Amino acid sequence: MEYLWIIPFSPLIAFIIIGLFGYKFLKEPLSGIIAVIAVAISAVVSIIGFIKVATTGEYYNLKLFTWMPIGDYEISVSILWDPLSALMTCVVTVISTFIFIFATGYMKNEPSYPRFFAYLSLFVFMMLMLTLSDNLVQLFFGWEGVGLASYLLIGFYHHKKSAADAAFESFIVNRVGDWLFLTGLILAFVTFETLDYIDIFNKIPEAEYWVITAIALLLFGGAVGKSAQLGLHIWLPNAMEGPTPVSALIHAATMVAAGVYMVSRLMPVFAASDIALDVVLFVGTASAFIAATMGLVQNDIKRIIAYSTMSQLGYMFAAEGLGLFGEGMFHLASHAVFKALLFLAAGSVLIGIHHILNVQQMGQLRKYMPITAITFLIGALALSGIPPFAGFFSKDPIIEGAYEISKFAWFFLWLGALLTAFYIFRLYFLAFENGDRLDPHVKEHVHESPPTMTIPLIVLASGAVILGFFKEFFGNFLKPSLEPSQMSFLSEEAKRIVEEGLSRADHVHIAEDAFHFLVHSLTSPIGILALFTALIGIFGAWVIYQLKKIDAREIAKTFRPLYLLFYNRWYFDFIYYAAFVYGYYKFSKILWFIGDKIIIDGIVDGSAKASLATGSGLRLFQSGRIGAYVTQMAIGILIFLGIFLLFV
Amino acid sequence: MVPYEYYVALSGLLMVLGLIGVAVRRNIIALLLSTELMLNAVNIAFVAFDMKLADVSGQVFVFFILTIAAAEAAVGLGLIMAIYRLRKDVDTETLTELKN
Repeated sequence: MEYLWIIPFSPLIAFIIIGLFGYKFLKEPLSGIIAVIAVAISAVVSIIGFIKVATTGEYYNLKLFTWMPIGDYEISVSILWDPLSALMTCVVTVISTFIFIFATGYMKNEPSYPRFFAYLSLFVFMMLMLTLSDNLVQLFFGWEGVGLASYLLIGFYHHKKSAADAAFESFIVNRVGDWLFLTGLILAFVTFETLDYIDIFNKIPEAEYWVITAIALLLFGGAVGKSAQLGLHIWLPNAMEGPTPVSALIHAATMVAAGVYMVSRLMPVFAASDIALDVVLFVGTASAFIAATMGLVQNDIKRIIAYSTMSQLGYMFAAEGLGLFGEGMFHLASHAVFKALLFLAAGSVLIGIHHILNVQQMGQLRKYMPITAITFLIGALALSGIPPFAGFFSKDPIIEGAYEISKFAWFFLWLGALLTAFYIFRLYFLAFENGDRLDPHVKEHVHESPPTMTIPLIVLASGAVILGFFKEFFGNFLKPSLEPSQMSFLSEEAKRIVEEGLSRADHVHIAEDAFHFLVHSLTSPIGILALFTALIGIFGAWVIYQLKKIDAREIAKTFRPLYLLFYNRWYFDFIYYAAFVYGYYKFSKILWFIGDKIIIDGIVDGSAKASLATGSGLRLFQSGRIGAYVTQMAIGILIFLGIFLLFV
Repeated sequence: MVPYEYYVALSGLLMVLGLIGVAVRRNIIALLLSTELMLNAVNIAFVAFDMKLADVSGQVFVFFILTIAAAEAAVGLGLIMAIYRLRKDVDTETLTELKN
């Protein structure tokens, strides 16, 4: 398994080559091609590794080199290759490959073309460091690295003020989460005296309950920031200022899912504390529902999908909080496929109509861009959870599992599913069907995108169709990483604790086989209800936005308070602006006045003034008369001699 | 044999005379003379303590001090000549360029 080191370092090499020679020698097509080749190599190697681990079901822990020793503990750069990391790595590299290919078409004629691919390659390297890590420090390194890449790529059009502001916002909001994560990491080191996952898991029985709870909650704080969950979510919609391939790769498929992956990776720590699991469940459910309501009324095509991402990440966290880690990871994988597809289709639309973001100014695009429209429709159906598509097999188990475990969580997740189907089809009908609102000037130029863009769309769309049928395969594949009885690296005692923690999901029986699950959903009341909800959402969007039987404005008027609440994103942005931006501004002013003006300026100016005053005082002694100097000197000598004689 | 305290007293007396000379005289040449007087007071003190402690290093010091005093006198006189050529005056009361 030594060859696994190629996976992270191939994009790194691409980053270095493009970063050094991109503008001078490689220029437009070549730097993109190098990036695509590098990430494709990673994808191929990770698929080989995936097949290997799927056939043997073992785990491999490769220590590449020692990064830094801390006392007896050595932090190493290493690769932990087990089903969980293999799945995540494959998702990252394969999705990246298609998005990179798409980006070579999307970024055509962009002056900063090499810079874009350098940043993207850096992102993939950091993301792979995160997923392949076997210890918390390397995870944190990748965690910060993807944050940096995200910052650079959101602010890619840095001459635009809104993009620069959005990049800052995402960086600063993520700092809050990362600070919590780092605190959790330090607490884990103090408690367990090691940062390797496997050692931590085996030391769980020795630690106290509340310490584990604190570690889990602090680490989850980092996940809340990175995965844009309720509380630290405000950066994600604004992050759509970046180029669309970035939104698809970083802010939909991979980086934002890092939080979900981290919770799964540290599953034993979370499972050892039911408070932590409850918090994960609550935050996930709240985000899933609230983000869906926000998505209902937005008009920016990318922001609608961004809220949808936040909502779907909420479903994944909810699944983990329910103890259904396998289902959460499967939803992560299928979501990565269909959400990347939705974003890329949106990107294809934006290229076609010259970057008009407002869905109210689109319409009938299906006539001009049939491939984009059909692939978007497939993505939308998958997101809504309509049977043969991937979303149905990954999202409905979460909702059905929630019904068995917590009715409260189930209610909001179920309601969220209704809203999800509604807002994504609202977007579909407004953009691709419905009336003719396109600017006639734009209409002349609308065209289907080139094959570099449509081929990734078609591939991802086929993925969104067939991935769901591999439900059983993925479930079984992940068991050596997420099923305590099959986790070979856990000690018996640790296994017992983890099993106890996951016992909340013991009575849930979700059919593993995709076909059985489909039959079960179509026969059990709760499955039929979930399916009907999605269909009602689609039907509602069809009636309102396609047939126009009901005027959307009338609904907005009738439910004006709710509309305003959703439209203003539950006032989170306003509250944060008032409390943090404005509050920080005021606080800085106070500090500026007291700290800077009075204390620091006082010290600096004071010392200058003091030496000036002593100087002008002592100047008087400088008479220029030798006699006076000699007298002063003699007096001084006498005084010192007197002191010497008297006291020594 | 004269007791060494006498020599020390003489040394102190010469030192004070030299000091007063430097402090009160206005002619630079007189100042230079007074400085030489102080140097020689130190020389006497060296020799006196040397005698008391039965050591020769004090006398070695005296040789060095005499040599340096000679050199210093030469330099000092040279400077005085330069000042005199510049100002036609060697009175310290008027030599106050470094005042304040």
